[in-house]
Amino acid sequence: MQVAAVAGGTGNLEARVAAALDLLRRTPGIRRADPISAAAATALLEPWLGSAAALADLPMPRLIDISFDTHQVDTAALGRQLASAVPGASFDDHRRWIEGLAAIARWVIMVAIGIVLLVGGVAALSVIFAVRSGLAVHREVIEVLHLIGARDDYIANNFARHTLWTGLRGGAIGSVLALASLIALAWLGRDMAPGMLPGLKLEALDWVLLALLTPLAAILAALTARSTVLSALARSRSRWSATSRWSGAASSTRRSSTRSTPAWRPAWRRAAPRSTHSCSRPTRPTAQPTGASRDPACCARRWPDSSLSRATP
Amino acid sequence: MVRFDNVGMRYGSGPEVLRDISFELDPGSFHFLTGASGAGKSTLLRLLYLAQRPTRGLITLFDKDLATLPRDEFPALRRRIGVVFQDFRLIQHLSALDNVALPLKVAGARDDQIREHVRELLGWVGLAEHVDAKPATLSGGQQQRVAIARAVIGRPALLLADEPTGNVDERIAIRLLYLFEELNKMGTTIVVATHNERLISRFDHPALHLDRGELVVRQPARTAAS
Ligand SMILES: Nc1ncnc2c1ncn2[C@@H]1O[C@H](COP(=O)(O)OP(=O)(O)OP(=O)(O)O)[C@@H](O)[C@H]1O
Ligand SMILES: [Mg+2]
Repeated sequence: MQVAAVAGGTGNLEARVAAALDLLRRTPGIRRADPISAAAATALLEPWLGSAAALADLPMPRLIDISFDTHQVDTAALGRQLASAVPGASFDDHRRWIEGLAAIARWVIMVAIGIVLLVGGVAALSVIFAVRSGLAVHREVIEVLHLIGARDDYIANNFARHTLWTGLRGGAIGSVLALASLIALAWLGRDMAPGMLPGLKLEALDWVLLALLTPLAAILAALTARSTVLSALARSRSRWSATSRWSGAASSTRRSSTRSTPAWRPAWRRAAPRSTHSCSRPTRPTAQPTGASRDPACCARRWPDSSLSRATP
Repeated sequence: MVRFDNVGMRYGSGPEVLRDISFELDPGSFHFLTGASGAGKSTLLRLLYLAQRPTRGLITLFDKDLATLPRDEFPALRRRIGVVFQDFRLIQHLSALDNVALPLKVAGARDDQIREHVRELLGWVGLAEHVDAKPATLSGGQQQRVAIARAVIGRPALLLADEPTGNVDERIAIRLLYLFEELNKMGTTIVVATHNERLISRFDHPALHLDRGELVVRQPARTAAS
């Protein structure tokens, strides 16, 4: 709080300071109330107003430094009480603007977190859309892979791997740009009065977190890609089986067909069994079990040798 | 191995492309699949390699009823089937080598285990100099041979080839047919759809003949003659 040097001329400054101190020390919840000497106050103002000699002539208010229990003291009431008891006294609560600053700082942090979440969400969405369009673009390839016997996993993992590398590459470029802007900010802020703002110094932990950001984002993108592919493939499959259901007519056909319809069996099947163990070219399709023809002596598990002359009789 | 019972197939709400198809293929057999263009050869093969469901009838493959087979068993089944697609369906951004290696990779094989094997096969189909070529830089016949190599690399139990010699000259066609025969000797069941009557007459195998969606039996040429 401060007690103004000239305030309606009632009483001298020291007496009014003493009255204010007296009132303050009687108020419950005030832990400490110390007057700041005129010399100390002058010293405080010096950086702004010039040498102490010039200030000596100015009517300087006297300051009283108070600390109090915030729960016990009603600052507004105390301010009114002081103003009426001690002419020229005013109560200055620093907490108001400290709180304001703190609120701004908290708000900035929230906005920053919000931006990070937003960027993350947008990144995930763009991964999903990119993967979707990738699925559409590579439809044919995916169909071939399926027909070759690929599981959805295989396809999803390929997409995930591709996304991981793309993410890492993009992240590396982004990291370089971020590093450049951090350096630029530090360079711009080099003249900023120390103490006015907390420095832009990054601690070791901050650097580790920053370094982890890219791989983490890439892994998240890869997992997003994987699950997008898996769910898209599952969806397309359920659509496929829903549209090609067996109709009721078909199932009745099936039932009768399995019993009564004689399957077409070519006449050659009833021909006498021949040996296919020889290396000679079989002249007829064989009806013997798969394993029997795998005679290692003549049909080695290698591709037939590559002379055309042998192949062409 | 393969059994069709009164299988019918239509695309969407169109006419029936296949009607009342019933036949059975034994393990280790070798069949040609013949018929005019549009008769339904490719459609029949599509049913066999599980690209399409029949609209009616019953298909049994490797002793499994396809109608009741859970979808997650399809990949394992498909890995036992090698397919030469009529339009090759090579993956354009992969080299010939990687295209051929694909079925093995999909089945979980490691790169170093399969490279030599793939090179050897590519050499055998006459593409030793083109292992690193992208499909777009290969001729039609060369692409077709890559497709064939991809179909046989996994030593499938069932090999389905849709017009596998349509883009190569007679000499290479015969050579490729011999590759199939070698596979057949090792136990692979083979179905080759083709228009090439000369090829059919050269190799003594029975033919499944499709006439506008219906199956007609044809004896092997030599058997019929004798
Ligand atoms: N995806 C499709 N959608 C609708 N109809 C189709 C489709 N594919 C084929 N068809 C029709 O099915 C019939 C049989 O076609 P398919 O491709 O099986 O004949 P193909 O015997 O293989 O002929 P080609 O010898 O010319 O290859 C044709 O009448 C064709 O128009
Ligand atoms: Mg066709």
